[in-house]
Amino acid sequence: MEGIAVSTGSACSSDSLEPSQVLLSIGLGPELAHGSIRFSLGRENTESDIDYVIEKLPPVIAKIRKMSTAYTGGKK
Amino acid sequence: MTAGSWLYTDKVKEHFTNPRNILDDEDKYDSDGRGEVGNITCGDQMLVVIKVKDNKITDCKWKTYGCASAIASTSMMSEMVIGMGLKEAYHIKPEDIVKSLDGLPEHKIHCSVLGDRALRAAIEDYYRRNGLEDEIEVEPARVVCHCKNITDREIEDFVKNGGKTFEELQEKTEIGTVCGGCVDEVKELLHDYHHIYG
Repeated sequence: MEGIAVSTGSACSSDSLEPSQVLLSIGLGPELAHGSIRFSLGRENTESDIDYVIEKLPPVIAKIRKMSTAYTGGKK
Repeated sequence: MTAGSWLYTDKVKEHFTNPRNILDDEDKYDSDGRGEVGNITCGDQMLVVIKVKDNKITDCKWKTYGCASAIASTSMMSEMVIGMGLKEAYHIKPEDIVKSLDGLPEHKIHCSVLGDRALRAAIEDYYRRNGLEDEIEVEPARVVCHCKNITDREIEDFVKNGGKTFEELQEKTEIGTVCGGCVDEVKELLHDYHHIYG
């Protein structure tokens, strides 16, 4: 999406559809654990790559939230 | 695990990036039927609302908490059923939706196509609201593990084919591996089926 490659979980569990045990263990609820994405950085990434992600990500999140049953925008 | 197994078809990508018929504000939508299935602990939840006129679905809107294929499936299904007769829509199957999407990665089919069940629930809700309970059909198979969408029929078949232990069944189907809420029931069912077929 938008030229950014991310993952929904660690590479070692890419065959699994279960939420991350690490995220659950640090106290995240299932909706956040299932809804998390992982960004990895390498030596070739630049600061402007990060700026680009920060610019592109919020509208994507807004779009996904709009179609989600889990996100209530604070109201229940 | 192969890289190819995760590839989405163009249709899946198209429906995921431009989903159709999203339910904007439920409070403002005057539905004739409403169905909700799955739960957030499992990782997929779908809400489907419909409008009905002259035994036809005139509108279908939805919300989905789930992965790209879950979102694309619900979007595709909503397009398929608008204008469709209630009876036909009531019998839509996950395979029909997957086919319209030109396929889904294999291990996404089981858990992400909850759309047909949400639609069924919405249609049954419509029938109930209109005193048409007679139209509701008893499902031949009942989902026991909602996270992995596994029915009692599959557990029965496992036993029929010589399957023995819960661990074996879990290895084969991943039943009860997500929220674990069904494990006790599955063990009881296994026990029952072993009595019948053992």
